[in-house]
Amino acid sequence: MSRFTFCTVQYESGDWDSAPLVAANVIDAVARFTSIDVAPSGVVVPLASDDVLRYPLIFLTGHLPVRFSAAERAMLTKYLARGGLLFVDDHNHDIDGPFHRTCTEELARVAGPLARIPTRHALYRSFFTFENGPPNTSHELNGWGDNLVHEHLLGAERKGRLAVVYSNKDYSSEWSFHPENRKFISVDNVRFGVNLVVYALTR
Amino acid sequence: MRSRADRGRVVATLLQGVAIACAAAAAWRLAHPTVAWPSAVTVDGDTIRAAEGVASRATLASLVATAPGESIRVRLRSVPSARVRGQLRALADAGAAIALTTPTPFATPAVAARVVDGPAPMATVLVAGDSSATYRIGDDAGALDSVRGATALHLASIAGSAHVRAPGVHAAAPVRTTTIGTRVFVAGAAGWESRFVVAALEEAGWRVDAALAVAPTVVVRQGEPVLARERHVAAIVLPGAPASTVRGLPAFVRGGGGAVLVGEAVQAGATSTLRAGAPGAVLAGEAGMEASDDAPRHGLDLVPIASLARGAVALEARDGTTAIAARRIGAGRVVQVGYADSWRWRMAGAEGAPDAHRRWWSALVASVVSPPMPVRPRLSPFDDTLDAAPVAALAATLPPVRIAPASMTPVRDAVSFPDASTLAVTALVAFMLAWVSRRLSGLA
Repeated sequence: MSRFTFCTVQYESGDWDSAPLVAANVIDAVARFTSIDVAPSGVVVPLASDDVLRYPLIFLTGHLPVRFSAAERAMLTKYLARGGLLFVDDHNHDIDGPFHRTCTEELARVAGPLARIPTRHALYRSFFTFENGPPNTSHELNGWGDNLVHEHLLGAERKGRLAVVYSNKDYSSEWSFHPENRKFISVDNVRFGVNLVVYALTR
Repeated sequence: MRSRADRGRVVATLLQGVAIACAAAAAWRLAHPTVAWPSAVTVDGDTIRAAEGVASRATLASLVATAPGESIRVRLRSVPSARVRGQLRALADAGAAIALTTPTPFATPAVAARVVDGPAPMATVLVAGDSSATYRIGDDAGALDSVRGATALHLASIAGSAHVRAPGVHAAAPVRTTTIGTRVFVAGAAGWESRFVVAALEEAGWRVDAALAVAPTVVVRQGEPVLARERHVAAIVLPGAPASTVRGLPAFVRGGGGAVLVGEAVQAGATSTLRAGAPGAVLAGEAGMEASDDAPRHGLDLVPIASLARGAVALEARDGTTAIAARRIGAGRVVQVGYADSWRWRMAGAEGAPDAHRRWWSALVASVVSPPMPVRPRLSPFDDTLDAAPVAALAATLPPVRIAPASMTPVRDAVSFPDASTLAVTALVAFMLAWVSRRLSGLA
């Protein structure tokens, strides 16, 4: 049986590699809390490559404006149609910033308009229970001093299943710490990453 | 210049000749009471045109009633419908001599319609035909598509019968569906295979309850948490299935439930008592083959079914090993599938891979659901016209069709020959007129 491998996608525009520690932390959390057979290290795959089809869950992040190439757009369209799940996190956590505007526009082109994911969605109960929807990040609450909290994640469905999950919550920063430092955290803040992986593997 | 008497003699002689001829003809008719019934009809599909001289509304059916034992020359412009063939066959059975000719060979399509069983019937229509001909494909509800030559057409749904039409030709085959329950139970571990099996089955219309192990004490459940015969028609057991969820599987199968056991799921526990064969060492798939059109499962890793249990039968082989096998246990059926990670076929396969993967899984599950109750589609009054291969049916039931150019085999009008009484009356009248003519001419 194939094991779960965390896959970060590399796209031509922007800074796809802005959160290099996310993969290690999600892998660590999945291995820590579940019995899912998880590869010990993640992979990076070009979005335009056929290789993305080997990873039904892919992660995309960045700060800068996103403009997919035609090949990236075509591959993403194919990927979503076949049942892949794209998780996108805006590394800025702002409102209507350059990443958000450009990326949601690109996603709308391949997946249709994004809609709010209700707080009762199975995504928030697939492993841990998040009664109030997506957990807030320290960067939202006080990290930047703006208390700018995004209540919902956005998403697009294919055949009744989430195909795109879009976050403004800056999990890319929240989950970007060295796994060794996890012991200093009272409540593991990567738990929602576990939910995301379990949802992708079971729904 | 001829006198009046001379003219009268000539007329009288002519009338006498007519009278003698008619009398002779009447005598011949009396001696041959059954004159050959010269029928000739032209058939075009379901249409019969009688030649002039035969009652204009005549059909072959009426010929059976009125002229049994006669000869019929039938000129075929196209393959006759089953109804017309039935009438011709009835004539032949009644002793009529049937002669079939056609000016040109027929286009010869044949059609078969196969439903991939499942809650949402998915049909494959197979058409065999002339590679240069274009055929219109349809069902009882109307036209669906057009194809050229031999092809397989996959349809999301089909109503009643599959029809193939070309100019002058119509072949049709009924589509059979099965009435089965649609609720199944999937047990496995959280993983891509479990996820895509559930997705494929749901997309195919199955109602899926699932129990997928995520951690030693955590099972993600969907729908009803426990496998039960009164709810589920089949169970799909994938590697890593929680032992608690499949404990009742043997009783479930013996009670008539179906089971699809996948890969290494048969190694231990309750499933090992049901397996069709022992799992062998994993054989790696051929790299890239999952993207091929013709043998996508050659690209998948395979847990070969090394030795079959008594009563088990191999359903599919790969590289000399058994890939899929089945057996009956009690009232239930078990299919053991050796392929692992079929999700790779769906994700990385050729263009139609998601649909093919979905149909394959749906068919696997349907194959273990019992009892499959075949249900013929509701038949219309014209269902006797359903012919999968009308030319073959023609050849099977009637004399061979002789190819005869139109110019050489005109359909001749039937000749209406007077009967004996008419001839006798005519002869009598002619004799009387001859006698009168002679009297008036002073000859008698």
